[in-house]
Amino acid sequence: MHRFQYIFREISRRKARTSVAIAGYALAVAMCSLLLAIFYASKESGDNVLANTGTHFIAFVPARVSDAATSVFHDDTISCFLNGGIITRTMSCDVLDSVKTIPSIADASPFLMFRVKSLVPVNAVITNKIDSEQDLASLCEPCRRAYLKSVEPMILASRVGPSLPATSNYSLTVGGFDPANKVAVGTTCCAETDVISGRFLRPGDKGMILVEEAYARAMGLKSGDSIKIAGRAFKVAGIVNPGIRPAKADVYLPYEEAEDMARACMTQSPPTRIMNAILVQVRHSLRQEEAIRAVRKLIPDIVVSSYACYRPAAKVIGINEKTAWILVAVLQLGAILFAVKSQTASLVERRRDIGILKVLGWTNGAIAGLIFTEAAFQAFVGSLIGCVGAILLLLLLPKDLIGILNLNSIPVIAYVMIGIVCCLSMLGGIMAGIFPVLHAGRLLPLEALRRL
Amino acid sequence: MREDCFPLKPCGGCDYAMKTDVTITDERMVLTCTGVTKTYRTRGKQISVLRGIDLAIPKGTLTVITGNSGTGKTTLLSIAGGLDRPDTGRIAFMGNPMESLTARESALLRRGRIGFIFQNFNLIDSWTAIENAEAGLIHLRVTADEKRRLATDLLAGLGLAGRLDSFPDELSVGEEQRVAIARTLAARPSLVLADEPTGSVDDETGAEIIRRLMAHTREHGGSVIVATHGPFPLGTADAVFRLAEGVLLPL
Repeated sequence: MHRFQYIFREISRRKARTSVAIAGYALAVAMCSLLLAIFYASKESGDNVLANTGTHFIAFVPARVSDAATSVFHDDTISCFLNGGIITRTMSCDVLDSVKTIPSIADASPFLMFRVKSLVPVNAVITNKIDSEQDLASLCEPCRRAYLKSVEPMILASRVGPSLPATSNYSLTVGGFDPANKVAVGTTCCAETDVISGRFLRPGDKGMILVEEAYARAMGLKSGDSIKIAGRAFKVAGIVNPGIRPAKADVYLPYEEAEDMARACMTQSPPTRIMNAILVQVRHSLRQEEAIRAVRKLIPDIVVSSYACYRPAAKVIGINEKTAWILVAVLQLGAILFAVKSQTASLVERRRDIGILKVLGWTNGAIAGLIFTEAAFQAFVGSLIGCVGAILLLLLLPKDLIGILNLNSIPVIAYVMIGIVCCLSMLGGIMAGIFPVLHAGRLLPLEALRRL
Repeated sequence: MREDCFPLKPCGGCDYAMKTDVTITDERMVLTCTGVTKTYRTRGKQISVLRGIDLAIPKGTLTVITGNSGTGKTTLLSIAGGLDRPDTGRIAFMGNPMESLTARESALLRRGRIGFIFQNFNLIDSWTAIENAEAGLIHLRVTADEKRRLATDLLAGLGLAGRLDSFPDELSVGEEQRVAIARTLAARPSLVLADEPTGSVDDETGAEIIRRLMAHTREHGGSVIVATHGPFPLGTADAVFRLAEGVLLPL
């Protein structure tokens, strides 16, 4: 008789036991699948939150006090490359390609931030009236006083032209980023969702800038206004409030324009495209440390700036994930122990049959094959039923589950996870056959026949 | 006497008496046992079942071992068939020592070379008569259809053509025994070890079983050892021994 015929014969002979064993596997797989679906739905919610907090960082190389990097600009009393108040060195953009190849990093983008002076904000209303010394002189005295009182002298000085003295220590920070990059820039610098008025920068924009809300308020700027930075005229495309982000500037403009501006201000123009910070988006909060380590290894002296909140969040997620998998393991172990018991009981009942087969010349290997195949069959059928049950349940009851479990997102049918659980279950089924197989192997044919 | 020889007691003029020069590796013998002992330990007691059995079974012979119940006939057959191991002594099948065989080698040796017929038949309850008969053909490298044909022919020859698909619990005792014989003889083993083959059947069936066993030795050159405590037509046997107090005595 063929092995499978024998197995099916035995299974059909012991319908109740087989059904219970299969049901055990089905229940375990269904519960594990549901548990993982709910867990991953919950994790996805957490990840979404983390994606805007801790799964990113910026990296830059600080300049030493004696470093030549501190005096690369013509006007080195104010102008410098900086980040978070620290003067930085510049890096070649070529290093970005290496950073992007780090497995734990989803994307990386160049960022160029520097400080310059000579801002000329031109309020549209005032511009019509006061765009020269003559206009100012044409105002009546109270208005002239009020105007001079309300506006910073140096702004006024700049605004009305070189005949009035400019304030030498006035400055602002300029941040150049790639508006086409939606992955690394949005979380570290500013995103379209940060726009308060006007619009976000678009790839290809020329002469357009974004102004940080606080700075815009201080300077009385609004969308559509024109300003001069380092002698170049820009139009305010929008006002943004990026909140607390690692790469924060007073005004933002496309990376290429920022780089051109920086080069124009520098004493020596570098041979390659430059940046002074790398904006990095990590694939997962749990891999943040790994990504930071990789970047540090790649670029010596690099300093990483990120929110530390990813640490507890990642830890919590790690705990939850471990808990979910421990529960899965416990459930699977329960199913396996149940199957071991069932298989062993079945083996005891078939002790005589095994003795006969051994007498007939069946080797331990052939008998082990029978037991393993039977165990695997039960596990396979049970797992399959469990998978189908879990998928149906997830398809039919997602809303109810959301309500009961207070989840932020719908439990997803994670086919890969269900597949893994199914495989684990089948593996467990085979493991469940190990003890009976060992038992059968030890069984002497004569003893098996004599004891009956 | 050489160390690897074993003594055989004269049995009164039969072929066995002349085999004092038989060695353990003698290929003329299908089975040789020398100095085989077996002791069971139960509840602190030691029961010596076999106390130095010397036996040589030539090819193509029917040997009968008689003795009362509990004298160790089944134990001797089990040891001879590789189902059990002796405490001391040596066993050789077709000149090949069996004591050093692994469990797998022993199983492979039983597969088609050594057949067993049990008093209680030992059919697999969940298999039909034909499936039980086929179980003895595991070693044959032929198609399933061919195995089915061989088993069918054998069962038909034993008068079970109409009972092929019956399960053991649907068969009479005699029919069960015939299925067991079919299972054993289907493989045409070199050695058949039959433990009380006629003990549970009526005289007519017993005679049929004996006829089949005889045919196996005469037509196929196989050897048969029958252990029995009951009536057996001893005249049909080539040699008869009596097992008493752990010692094998020729009759």
